[in-house]
Amino acid sequence: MPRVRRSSAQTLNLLRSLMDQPRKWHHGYELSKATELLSGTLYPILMRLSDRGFLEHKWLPSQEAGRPPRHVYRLTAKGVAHAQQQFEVADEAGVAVTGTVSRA
Amino acid sequence: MSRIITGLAGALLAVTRCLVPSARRDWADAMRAESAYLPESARLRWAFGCLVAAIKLRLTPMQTGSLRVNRWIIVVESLVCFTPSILAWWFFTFGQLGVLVHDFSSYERHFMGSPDGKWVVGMMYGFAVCGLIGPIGLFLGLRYALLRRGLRSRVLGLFLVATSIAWSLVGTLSSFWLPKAELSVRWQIFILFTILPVAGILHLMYLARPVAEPPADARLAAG
Repeated sequence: MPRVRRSSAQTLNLLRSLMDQPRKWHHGYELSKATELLSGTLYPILMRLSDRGFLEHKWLPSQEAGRPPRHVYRLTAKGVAHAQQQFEVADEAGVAVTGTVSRA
Repeated sequence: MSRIITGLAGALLAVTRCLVPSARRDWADAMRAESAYLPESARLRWAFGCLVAAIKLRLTPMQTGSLRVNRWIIVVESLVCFTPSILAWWFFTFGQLGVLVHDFSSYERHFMGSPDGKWVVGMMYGFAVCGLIGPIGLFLGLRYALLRRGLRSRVLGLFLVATSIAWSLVGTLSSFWLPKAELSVRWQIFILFTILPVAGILHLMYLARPVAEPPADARLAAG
């Protein structure tokens, strides 16, 4: 059985945030606050997850006048399975995924 | 002041959009749109982070230099990295003053009488042990060339690196005892017995890592 490569602590934290409400669409600032990741770290991870088919995204029209549409994200079914697998791997390795990680 | 910060943040986000590969423009737009929802105090920091993300995206496809070189280059590299250590190890183990050639009593006769005798003898035994990094490193290098197996054991790799550094420290300290010791002698010791073997070992450890898939950014940028 091929070894599952463990994601970084930042990615695990982001997956945890997305998994809190997997069917809800999350926006970037909300994820940034929840994970304490700066945008410079958050967006490359989001892009990577999206490239691998773990994340879907769309533009959501703003409900407030004068504001631009907002890019929102949520895990795909494949992404949910991946997240669960990553949590198991992290648990086996004894990595805390709920704690605050250092910001990059 | 707030207008200046907002303007600066907007400028950074505009630069971000210019920097990201064209296939990623929608992500740059997403970052810019998101900044419109941020409290003013957080906008500049956000924009700066977006710029960092854009630079990362730009740099990733540029990382074409790979350390996964041809295995025959590894043979040459291993010879360059580990031959000085092998020669020194051979000298202190089987050479004219080698610790396995003479018994300890002969060392006592020749060295123990002098004030630094104990240090010299200890140094020779230390070199005979630490110098094993040379033959071990060469063996690992040749093994990679033949079997494509890098140095998987992180513990062994770090142990060899630490040994090499210890070797160099002992060598550098001992050079203070040499008559007319010059700084260049210590630098040679440092380069030959630390820099080269450590580089060789670290490379072999790197080669043991699984081959990563080419980053999606690279594919997108290429397309």
